[in-house]
Amino acid sequence: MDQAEELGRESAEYAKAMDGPPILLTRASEAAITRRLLAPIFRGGPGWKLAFLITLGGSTICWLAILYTVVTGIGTWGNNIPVAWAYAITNFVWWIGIGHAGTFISAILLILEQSWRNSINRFAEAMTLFAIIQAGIFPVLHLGRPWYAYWILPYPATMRVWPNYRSALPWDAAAISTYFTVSLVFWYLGLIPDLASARDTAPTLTKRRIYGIFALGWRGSARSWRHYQMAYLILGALATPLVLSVHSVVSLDFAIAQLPGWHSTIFPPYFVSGAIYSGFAMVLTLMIPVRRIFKLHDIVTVRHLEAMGKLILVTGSVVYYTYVVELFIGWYSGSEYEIGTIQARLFGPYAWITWTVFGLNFLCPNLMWFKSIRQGAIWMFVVSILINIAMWLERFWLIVTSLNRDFLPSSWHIYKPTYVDGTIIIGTMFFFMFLFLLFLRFVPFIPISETKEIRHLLVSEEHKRERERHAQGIDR
Amino acid sequence: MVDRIRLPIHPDSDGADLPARAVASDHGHDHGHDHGHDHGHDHGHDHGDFDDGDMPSSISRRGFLEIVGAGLLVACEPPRGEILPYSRQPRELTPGKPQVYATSMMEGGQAVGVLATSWSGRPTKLDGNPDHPATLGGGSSIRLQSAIYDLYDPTRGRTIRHGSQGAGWSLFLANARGGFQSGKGLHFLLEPTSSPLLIQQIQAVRGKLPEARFHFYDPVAPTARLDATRAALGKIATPIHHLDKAQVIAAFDSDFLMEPAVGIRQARDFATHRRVRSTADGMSRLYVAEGEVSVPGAIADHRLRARPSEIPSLLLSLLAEVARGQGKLAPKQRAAWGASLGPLQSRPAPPWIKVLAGDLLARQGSGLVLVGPRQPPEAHVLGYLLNTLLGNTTVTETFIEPVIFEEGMESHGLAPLATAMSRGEVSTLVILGCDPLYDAPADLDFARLLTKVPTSIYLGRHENVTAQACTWYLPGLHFLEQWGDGRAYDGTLSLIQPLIRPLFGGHSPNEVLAAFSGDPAPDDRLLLRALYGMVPTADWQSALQHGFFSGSLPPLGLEVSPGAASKAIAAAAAAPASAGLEVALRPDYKMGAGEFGSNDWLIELPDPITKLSWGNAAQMSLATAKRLGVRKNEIIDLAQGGRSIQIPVLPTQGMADDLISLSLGWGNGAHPREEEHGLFSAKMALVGVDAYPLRTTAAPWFLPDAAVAKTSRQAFPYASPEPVREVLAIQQTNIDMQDRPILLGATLEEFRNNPNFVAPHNDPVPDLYGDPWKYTGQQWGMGIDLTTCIGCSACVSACQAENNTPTVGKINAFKGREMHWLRIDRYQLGGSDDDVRLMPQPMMCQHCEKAPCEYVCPVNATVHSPDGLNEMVYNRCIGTRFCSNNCPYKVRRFNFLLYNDTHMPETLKMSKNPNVTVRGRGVMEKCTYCVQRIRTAEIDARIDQRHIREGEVRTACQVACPTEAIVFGLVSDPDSPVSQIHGLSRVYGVLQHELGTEPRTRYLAVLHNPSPELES
Repeated sequence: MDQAEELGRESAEYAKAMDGPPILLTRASEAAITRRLLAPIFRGGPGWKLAFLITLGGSTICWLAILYTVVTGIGTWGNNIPVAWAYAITNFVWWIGIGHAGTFISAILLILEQSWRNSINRFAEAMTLFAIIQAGIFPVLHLGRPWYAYWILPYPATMRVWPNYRSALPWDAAAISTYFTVSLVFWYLGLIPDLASARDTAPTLTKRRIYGIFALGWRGSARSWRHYQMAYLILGALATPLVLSVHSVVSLDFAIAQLPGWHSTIFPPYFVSGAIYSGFAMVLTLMIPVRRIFKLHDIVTVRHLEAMGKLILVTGSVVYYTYVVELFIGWYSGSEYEIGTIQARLFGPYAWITWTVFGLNFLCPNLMWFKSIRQGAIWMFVVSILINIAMWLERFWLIVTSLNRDFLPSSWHIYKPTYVDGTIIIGTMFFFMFLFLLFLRFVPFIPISETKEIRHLLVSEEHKRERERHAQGIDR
Repeated sequence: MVDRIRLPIHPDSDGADLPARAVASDHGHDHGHDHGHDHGHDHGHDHGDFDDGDMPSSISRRGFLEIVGAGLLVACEPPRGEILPYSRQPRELTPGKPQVYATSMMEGGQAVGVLATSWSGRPTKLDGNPDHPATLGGGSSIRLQSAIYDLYDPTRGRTIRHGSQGAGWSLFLANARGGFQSGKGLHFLLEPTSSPLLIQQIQAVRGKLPEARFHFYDPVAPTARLDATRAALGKIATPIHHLDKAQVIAAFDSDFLMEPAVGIRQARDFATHRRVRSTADGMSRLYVAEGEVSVPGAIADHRLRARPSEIPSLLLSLLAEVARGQGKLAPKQRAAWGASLGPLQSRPAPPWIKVLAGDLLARQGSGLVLVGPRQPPEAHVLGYLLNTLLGNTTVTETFIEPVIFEEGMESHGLAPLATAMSRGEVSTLVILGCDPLYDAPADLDFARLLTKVPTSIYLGRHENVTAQACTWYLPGLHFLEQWGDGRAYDGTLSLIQPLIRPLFGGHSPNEVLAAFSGDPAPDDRLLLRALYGMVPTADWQSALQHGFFSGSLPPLGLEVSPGAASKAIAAAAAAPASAGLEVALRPDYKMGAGEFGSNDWLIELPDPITKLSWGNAAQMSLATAKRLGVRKNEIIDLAQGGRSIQIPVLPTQGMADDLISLSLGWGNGAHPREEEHGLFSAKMALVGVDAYPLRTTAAPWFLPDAAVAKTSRQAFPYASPEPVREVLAIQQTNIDMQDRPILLGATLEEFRNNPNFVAPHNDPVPDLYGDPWKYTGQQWGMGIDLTTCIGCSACVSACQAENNTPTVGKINAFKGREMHWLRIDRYQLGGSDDDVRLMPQPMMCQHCEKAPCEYVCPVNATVHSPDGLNEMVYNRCIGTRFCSNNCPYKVRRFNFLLYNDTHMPETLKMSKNPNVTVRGRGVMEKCTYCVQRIRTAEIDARIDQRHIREGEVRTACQVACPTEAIVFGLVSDPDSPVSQIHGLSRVYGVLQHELGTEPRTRYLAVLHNPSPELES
C-alpha cells in the first residue's frame, strides 16, 4: 500500500498495485474516442429497435394497468385493512433506492475525487432519473384520490389549509421533488459538453440543430470550462446531502408510525445503505450488458466492477447488520407487540420472504470478499440481479409483515396481490428500460469529455513517468 | 330499476288518521331521544296510567291546532296515486328535521315495536320502540335494524304478473271475486299471524266461502313447544320467560338472546342481573348446554358441549339430580312429585349437571330452565317440569294463551295442504308471503305438487322461486308501507302504520283476503280503521302514536300433568343415543328461515359468532374436522337419508364433537348475487348453500347418521383429484388474543377480592412531550360494559343504517375491505381447542385524545375537535391510508372502490341518512360517535340557549343495544352515566397502557360468575 500511495492515482502501476486493471485501457486519440462514443447515438446499436418495441409494449401495458387503477380505484389491488400499503409503497421505496447509486456516484465520488466514476456517472445519473420517475408514479397512484395529490404540497390554497408537517409524507414529497430536480440539473449540466460534441459531429442538419439547442451554445473555451467545472462541483456538493436525506425521509414514512416493526430509530441509516446497496446492484445490472453490447471493455474496465463490488460489500454489510440489530432490539424492548411482529416475520405466513431476504442479503455482499467474483462480469451480473430481487422483497417484507399482524389480533388479515399489482411493477420495469433505451439511443451515455479528461491525465502522467525514467535510466 | 321516485307521501285520502301522525311527530322527538335517559327502571313513569290500559289523551292545545291545520290541508289531498305538492308546508313538517313514528314489525307472526325515523316522508332508520314490551328500552336486533334495507331493496317485485303477462290489480280483483261458490278447492297459505285484522278477514272468508281452507306455514315455528304444552299442560300455551327475575339460568339448546320476537326483551331482562357496578352487586349465573355455539353459549359462565340429541337425556339427568336433592324442594312440590321422581334417583348425572342442580335448588323461584324450540316435546315437558319443581313457574316462567291464530292446530303446517294438493283437490292456491318452494320440507316435493294446482296466486315482496312457479304474482308490501296490526309475544296489541306510500305498488295480504271476501275496493287502512271502529278516536290516535294498545295477556294457571311428565321421562330415557355424525339445522341469525335472503346488510354482516359473511358453512368442531380429514373452505358432500348438499367446511371452536351445524335461510335461488368481478366479466353465483334439501317433515332439525364425503375435481395437468374449495369471507380470521391485554376479564369472585384488577393496564404512560393538551368545555366519551355485551351485533347494523355504510360484496369482504365502522371482535378466552369461551368486544374508533392517526395524515384530513372527537374530513382526504396503518385498533375503513355507486338504484339512494355524508371512492372513514346527532343537539341547545341535556345525544349503537352495554355522553360532566362508568374500578382503555393513546371509549372489564364448584 505504501508503495501504491506514491504512485500516480490513475497509472497502470497504481492499478497493478491495487490488484486490478486501470480505469481506462484505451489510448486512442481524443477524436477517435469522441467518434466511438458518439457512434451509438448516430447509428444505434444492435437489436435496438426490437428492444425498443418490447419495452414500449410493456410500458403500454403498464400504463393501461395504471389507467384501470385510476378509473376503478385501488380496489383493483390486493390492499385491504390492515394492509393498507403493499405493492405500491414497496415499488416506490425500491425504485427510489435504486436511484441512490446514481447520485452517490455523481456527487459523493466527485467530491471525493474518485475519478473512476467518470466513465460511468452519466449512466448512473440517467438511471437515477428514470428510477425516480418510476418511483414517483407510485405515491400518487396509491392514493385513494390521486387527482388531489397536489394537496400534499404547500401551495397557497384558497382554503388556507397547509400540509401537516408532523407527517412524513409532505417531507417525502419535498425530498423527492428536490432530488429529482437536482439530479436532472446535474445530469444535464454534465451533458452539455458532450451535446456540443454531438452537435459538432452530427451527420444531419436536423440532429445538428436539435443537439445544438440542447448544447446551449457551448464552445469549449477555457473560460467556459472553468465556470463549468466550478458549477459542476457546486452542484455535486448540493447533491451530496440529498443522497443521505432522501432515503432518510422515505424511511420516516415508516419510522414515525408506532407500528411494531416500523417504529424504529435505525431506519434512516438502514434505508440509506440499503438504497446505495440496491442502487449499485442496478448499475451493475444495466452496465454489464451495455458494456458487452457496445464493447466498452477498455472504457468501463474491471476496475469499475471491482470498485462497485466493494461498495456493495460495505453497504450490504450495513443492511444485514441492521437485520440483526432489529431482531435484537425487538426482543430487548420486551414489548410483546414487537416480539409478536418478530415472531410473525420469522415464522408467520410470510416467513419464506424473511428467510429469502436474510439469506440473499447476507450471501450477496459476502460473495464480494472474493476477488474472482468481484472481477467476473457474469458473476457480478448474477449477484446484482439477486440483490435487486432481495431488496424488493425486503421492502415488501418490511411493509406487509408489520401491517398484516399488529396490535389487535382480531384485525389480522393476510394480503395477497392481484394481477394488477403484478402488472404495474413489471410494467414499470419495462417503462424504465424504455426510457433507458431512449437514453442509450439519443444521449451520449459515456461522458465523452470526462473520458477524454481521464485519457489526458493518464497519457500526460505516462509521459511524465517516461521522462522521469529516461532521466533516471542513466542511473539504472 | 326505477327512473324516478316521486316524493313519497303517506297514502292518506282523508284527514282521519293524519292527525294521529301530527301528534306522533309532536312526540316523536320524545320517542327518539328523550327516552334515552329514562329507560330502565323509571320507564313507564310518564305513562303510568297508560299501562293500566287507560288510554291517555295527550293532545295539547297546540297539538290540537296542528291536527286541525293538518286536517284542513289533507282534506284537499288528491286521491291515492297522486303526489301532494308542498304548496303549503305541513305544520308538523320542518325540512331537515326527521319525524319519528311508532309502528311494528312482524317476526314469526309476532309484533316487535318499532320507532321509524323519517325524513320528509322517507324512512331511513328503525329502532326498538322503548315503550313496547318486546323492545322495552328501545333496544333492537340485527333484523330490526336491517329491515329498512328490505323496504328499499332494489330486487323487490314491481308488477302484477298473470302467467307471463303483466296484469293489473283490477283484473286480479275481478278474478278473485268470481267463481268460488262455496270455496271448494280454494286454499290459502299464510304465514302464521297474530293480527286481529287478518283473523277477522280469515273468518270473513270462511263465512263467505265455507269450504275454503286456510293453512299457516313457518318453517321455523316452535311446533314441539306447542305439542309439549298441549301434552303437559293440557292446553296449547306460549311460555313467557321473565329473565329479569332469574338468578340462575340454565339454557338447553336455547338461543334465548337471539330468538325472533322475544330476543330483544329477553336480552334486556337478562342483562339486568349482569350489570355489575360495585363489588356489592350480584350477578346471575348462566349455564348453557348446547352443540352449536350460540350467542348466549359464547358468553355463558358454564357451557357444556353436547349434541342436540343429547339434550333430553341431560335434562333427564338434571331432573334426576333434582330428585336426589328433593329434600330441598318446597313441601308442596315434594308432596306432589316426590313419588313419581323416585325411580329417577338412580340415574347418574355428570358433574356439570350436579353443580347446576345444586344452584337451581339453592335458588328456587329465581332460577329458570330454558329449552330451545328445536328440542323434541319431551325435552320441553322436562323443562316445564323442572321449572314447576323448582318453583320457577309463575315467577320466571309463565304461560299465556298463544298469540298466533290457531297456533298448534291442524291449520298449521304444510302437510294437510300437501295432501290436498297431491289429491288434486286444490284448484286455487293463494300464497300470502311464504316461500314454500324454497323452505318446504324436502320430502313434500312442493314444486311438483304446485304444478298440479291450476291457479296459484303468490303475494310477496320478491318474485322468488315460489312466485315464479305460480300463475299470478302480486308484489307485496313492506311493513313500512302498510296498515295492519298484530300481537307482541305477550299479547300486546300492536299497530302497523305506514311511513311511505308503496314504492313499487304492491298490496297487503289484508287487501287480497278482503278481495276474496267480496270487498270491491279493498284498502288496508280503511279495513283497520273499521276493525277498531269502536275504539274512541282519541284512544286510537294515542295507540297509533305509541304503536300499541297497552295490556298484555294474563298468565294462565297451568300445571304440568303427572301423566305427561312420566311419559316425557320415559320418552327421554328411551331415546336412543344417536351414534355417528349428527346434523343440526338452525335458523340463521341473519337470514332467519330465508326471509332476509335479499338483504345485503344482513348478508354482509359478520355472523355474531363465526364472523362469516356472504354465506353459510358446515360448522363442526376442530376435533371433528380433524377426524373427518376436512379443512376450512373445503367443500364436502353432506349426505343424510338419501339427500345431500355440497357445502364448504368451517371448523368452529366450541362446537360439540360429531356434530355438523347448518344454517337455514341461505342459498335462496331467488337472490343470486354478483360474486366475482373480473376485468372483463362478472360471475353470478348464489350466496351461501341451501340446507333445506336435507330437511324433512319427520326430522326438521336434527338429522342422525349423516355421511361426509370430500368432493374433488380432476386437477390439471395431472388428472389427480384435488379438493374443491370455496372462499369463505370471514371477517375476523384470528380469534386467539395472543395473551395480549385487550379483552380483560375476571370472575366475580376475583373482582370482589381485587376490585382494581385492571389497574396495571391503566398506568399512565411516560410522555416526552410534557403536559398534554387540556380539553375544556363539553367532552364526549363512551363506556362499553363487556359483561352485558352479548355480541348480538345489533349495534353493527344500527351503525350501518345510521351512517350510510355501504356493503362491499363477497370478494371485497373476503379480501378484508368490509366497511362496518363498528365491529364485534370475538376472542377465545380460556381453554384450548374446542372448550372455549368466545367473548365479544365491540370495537370502533376509540377517539383517542392522543390519536396516532392524526399526526401522520399529510393533509390534515383527520383532526381533533374541541369536544374531543377524532374527526374525519372526507373532503380533505386524499387517501394515503397512513392513518389506518398507524391506528392500533384498525378501526378505520377505506373506500377502496366506489362502494356507494353513483348509479345505485334510486331506492337505495332513498335509504341514506341525509345528515351523513355518502362517501365516495378513495376516502377513509370511521366511527364518528354519530357526530351528526351531537351537532343536531348542539344546534337545538343553542336555539334554546341552554346546555346539552344528559341523554340528549345517543349514538346509534347505544340506542340499538338491547342490553344497554354501550353508554355515551359527556365525560366532562361528572354526574353523567358515562362519567360514572369511566369512574368505576374495572374500566380500562384498550392499549392505553402500551401506547398511551388516551382513548375516549373505555371498556368495563368482563366479569363471569362461575360456580366455585366447577371452577376447580
